[in-house]
Formats: sequence, structure tokens, C-alpha cells
Amino acid sequence: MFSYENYKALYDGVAFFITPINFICLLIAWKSINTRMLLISLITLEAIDTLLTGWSYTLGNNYHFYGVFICSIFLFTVLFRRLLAKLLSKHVKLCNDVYNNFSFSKQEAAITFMYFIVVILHVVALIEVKLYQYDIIDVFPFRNNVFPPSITILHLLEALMLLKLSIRHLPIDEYLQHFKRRLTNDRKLEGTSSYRSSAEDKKDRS
Amino acid sequence: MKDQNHQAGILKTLWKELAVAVKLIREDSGYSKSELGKKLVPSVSEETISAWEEGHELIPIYQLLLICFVCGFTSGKESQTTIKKSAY
Repeated sequence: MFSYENYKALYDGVAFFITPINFICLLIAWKSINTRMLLISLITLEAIDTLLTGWSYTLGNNYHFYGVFICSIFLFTVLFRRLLAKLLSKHVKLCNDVYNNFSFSKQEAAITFMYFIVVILHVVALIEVKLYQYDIIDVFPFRNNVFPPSITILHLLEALMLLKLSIRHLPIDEYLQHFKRRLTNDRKLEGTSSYRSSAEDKKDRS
Repeated sequence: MKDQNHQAGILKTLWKELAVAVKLIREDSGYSKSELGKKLVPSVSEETISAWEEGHELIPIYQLLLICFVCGFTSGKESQTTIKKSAY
């Protein structure tokens, strides 16, 4: 009823529109360093997933092994973002700032939960396909009728969560922006006072 | 022996990261420790939540997922948007 073949355009459309949504969220949430790092990570993983899509279809009945693997990578990237920031902190300034001012929002918790559900769905579909492959069962209703719409709904929910995250202000980002503004003002004042003192010196000399 | 020590180190690091994540999720969603404990199935005490957040006890995977679900899709009292560090 809800098989992939019947609604191919819808399922593929939703699957591939996640990346533009991520870009839009990145533009909206650029000032929030935590959200920025999360979205850059997700966009990178989406790009890798898109590049490997063609190869993954050649796996045939073993496609869901790839599904479990790539969804687990997404899950670990979101859940262990602080560890990722720590590993990259010496090489990337953004990661250093994120590690020192880390925040994990409830929208990310929701996204973590959704990724875990996707992993479970892939595991169940894999088991069913393998049972069918070895003639233990004759049909695979879960893979045909439950898996495609469930993944699509989860993709849509994920997009909504990312949009919600990108428009909210995280307290740690408000603190950071205030701190940076204060730092900029202090530097301007120092520059002004040093200009004044050098101008006064010139006047005294003349 | 070296591999076992290395694996234990990795697990300890991941465990600590989960503890930090759970604490931040709970604070962001506005739940107190006792409120969150009551929402979980089976419900847990405030002391257990504290032990999880400080890394003294390992969070069971199903409880971690429940915390993600409860905190991610519901909210406690409105969390005050206070600036964490009072440097200014």
C-alpha cells in the first residue's frame, strides 16, 4: 500500500530536500556557534551519504547494513558533538569555541531520538529482508508498507526540529555575543585612548 | 592488555560525554531532577539522576532514549534565559 515503488517521487523528494533545509537553517543560525557546528556536521554527513547513495543501491539485499551504519554515524555526531569539538579544537577555531561554550539543546535530544528510531527501523527491515532471502518468510510487509512512510515522517520531523533549533536563542550564545561585543568595545576604547595619548604626545613635542 | 586499557579509556570518555549531554538536555528543557525522574519508565529518584549526570553511574540506553524523548518533545517549567556566566 505504502510501498516505495508506489510513492517513489514523494519519498525521494523528502529524502533529498533535507540538505537544502540544512543550508537554510545554517544561514539562519549562523550566529549560534553550537547550532552552526551541528549543521555543518550534518551537511557534511549528508554530502557523504548522497555520494554513497549510488554505491549503496548496488548492495541489494545488504542495503540496510549501510543504512544502519550511516544512521549510527549521524547519531554519534549529534550525541557526541562535544567530543568531536574537543578532537578538532586544536585545528578549527569554531570547534575550540564550541568546546569551551558547549550547549546541548532539547531539539538535539529529539533529533538523537529520531536517529535512533531510524536505526531500529533499518535493523527490523534488514532482519525481514534476510528472512525473505533465505525463504523463511514469503512476504516482507514491514519493508514494503511501514519502512518508507516511517522514514519519510522522521525526515520531516527532523527538518522541523532543525528549523526550530535555528530560530531559537540559546543562553550560552547570548552570553557569547554579549562577551564578544564587550571585547570589541574595550578594544575600540583602547584604540581611542592610545590615539588620544599619541596625539597628546605629538602636541607636547611640538 | 594495552588494547583493553585503550578500550576502557574510550568507553569512559563516551560515558562522560553522555553524562554531560543528559545534564544539559535536562537544564535546557526546564525539568528539575525529581520531575525528570518521575517522567521516566520505570521512575527513578533524584539521586539516580544526579549520579547519571555526574558520571558516577552508567545511564541505561533505554533510559537515555526516554530522556531524549521526554526532554526533546515536552518541556518542564519555562527555563529562564539567564546568562550563565555573570562576567558582566
